[in-house]
Amino acid sequence: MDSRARHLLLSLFSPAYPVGSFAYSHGLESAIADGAVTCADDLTDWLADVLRHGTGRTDAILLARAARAPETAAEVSALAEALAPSLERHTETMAQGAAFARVTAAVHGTDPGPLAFPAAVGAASAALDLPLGDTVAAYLHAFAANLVSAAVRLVPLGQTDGQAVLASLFPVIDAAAADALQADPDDLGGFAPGADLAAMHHETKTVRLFRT
Amino acid sequence: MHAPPTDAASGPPPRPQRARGAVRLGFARRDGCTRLADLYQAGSARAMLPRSHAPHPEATLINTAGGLTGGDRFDWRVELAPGTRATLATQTAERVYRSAAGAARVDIALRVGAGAHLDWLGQETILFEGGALERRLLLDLEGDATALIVEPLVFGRAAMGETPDRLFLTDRWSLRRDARPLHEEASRIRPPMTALRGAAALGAARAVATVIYAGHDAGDRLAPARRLLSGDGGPGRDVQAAASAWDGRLVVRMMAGDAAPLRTALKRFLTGFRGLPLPRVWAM
Repeated sequence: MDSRARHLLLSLFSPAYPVGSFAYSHGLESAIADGAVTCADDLTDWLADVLRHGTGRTDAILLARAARAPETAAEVSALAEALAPSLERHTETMAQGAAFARVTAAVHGTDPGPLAFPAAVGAASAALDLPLGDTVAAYLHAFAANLVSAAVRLVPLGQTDGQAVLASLFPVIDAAAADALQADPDDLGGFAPGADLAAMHHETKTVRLFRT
Repeated sequence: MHAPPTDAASGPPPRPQRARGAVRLGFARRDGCTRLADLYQAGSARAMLPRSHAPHPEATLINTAGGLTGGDRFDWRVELAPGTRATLATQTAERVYRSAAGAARVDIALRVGAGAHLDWLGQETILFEGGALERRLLLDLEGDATALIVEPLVFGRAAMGETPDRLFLTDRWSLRRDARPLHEEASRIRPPMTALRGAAALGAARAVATVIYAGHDAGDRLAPARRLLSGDGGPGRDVQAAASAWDGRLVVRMMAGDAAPLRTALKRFLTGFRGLPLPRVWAM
């Protein structure tokens, strides 16, 4: 990877990149409130499932598809939007995607069109000529790291414990990224009804720190 | 139809013959009522329109081959002309048996004209050890058409102590309105099933259901839908259920330890949500 690509990946997927990820827990807040995630081990299992069988896998496949054929990014975005299983998950992907496209357009001159998050990242990574495998892994890493930060506040967990959870997910992230690069259109999908239910239950919780 | 002999305690043997079946059903509006206008059936697929007291046609879809196995192929096509209403239900649980080679393929293509309403009420699809199913459900809505789609999935039978581990499922739903994507479901399961035992995946559940209502009034129907899923007479602690609605779609997910409590919760929800008794095949 050249120095330009390295800097782009580190900035685009840094928690400081202003896409508002800190506001979203992807249903984790309600999973914690309902006792499905109570400690570091539960968190590792929950995040590994979301990466392998849930949004991690699906987003990685959609990102790769948009990056390989950026002229179809709008179509991939419509598919990502239709795949959202709940109102809040729809908001999560659309709001982060729109912010990502806007900021990246302003800073790097890419297309500002609002797109679902994986489609926006795929289109930008093609425009910026980023290495696809590294981009998918960085996207999944940022997704997992953001949810670990949410859990550190909610479970609560120590910062160090949170980082240990994230480190234990590195191989899961790499495997999900590798899978996504090999996936054909029929491979889209997964099976995470527990995570979907948690995201839906979040809508009716009375106390909420996160938007999802 | 007779229950397949595989309900014996020994469990389902492979059924090597390949079955083919196709049904095409069309409904049109005549004299202000919905009437059957087109019926084509071939191979091991049948459609019946039993007399019922329902205010609109209720058709029952039947796989006469008794289950699905690798290489089987079924096509179900239903078309509702503008302004019509019809209910489609499968006759009984569909069983997906161990596949010797390849997957069973089921294609469902539903087209609903402007002002029409379709209820697609699939009963349980039960996947047994070694089962392989590839299903595509395509729903095309025109204009202000509405539809309710229900499909439950059951993984083995708790009562028989079955916990299938080697399953292949590709279940892809594409719901479109005026040719634009409205909602997609993409369920994909590959062995081993034990990989899905985490709480974010299937947890300890053995039965799941997805219900989608597509209609401009989806948002208005969320509060009544949620009431049917919670509180007194709700599905109870052995069923997890939740609903969400936005942009003309309402999605319900349910998850239960076994098929029976899921079915009870689903019947209660569907009866309340539709404001109509379920078709007789569902009552059994």
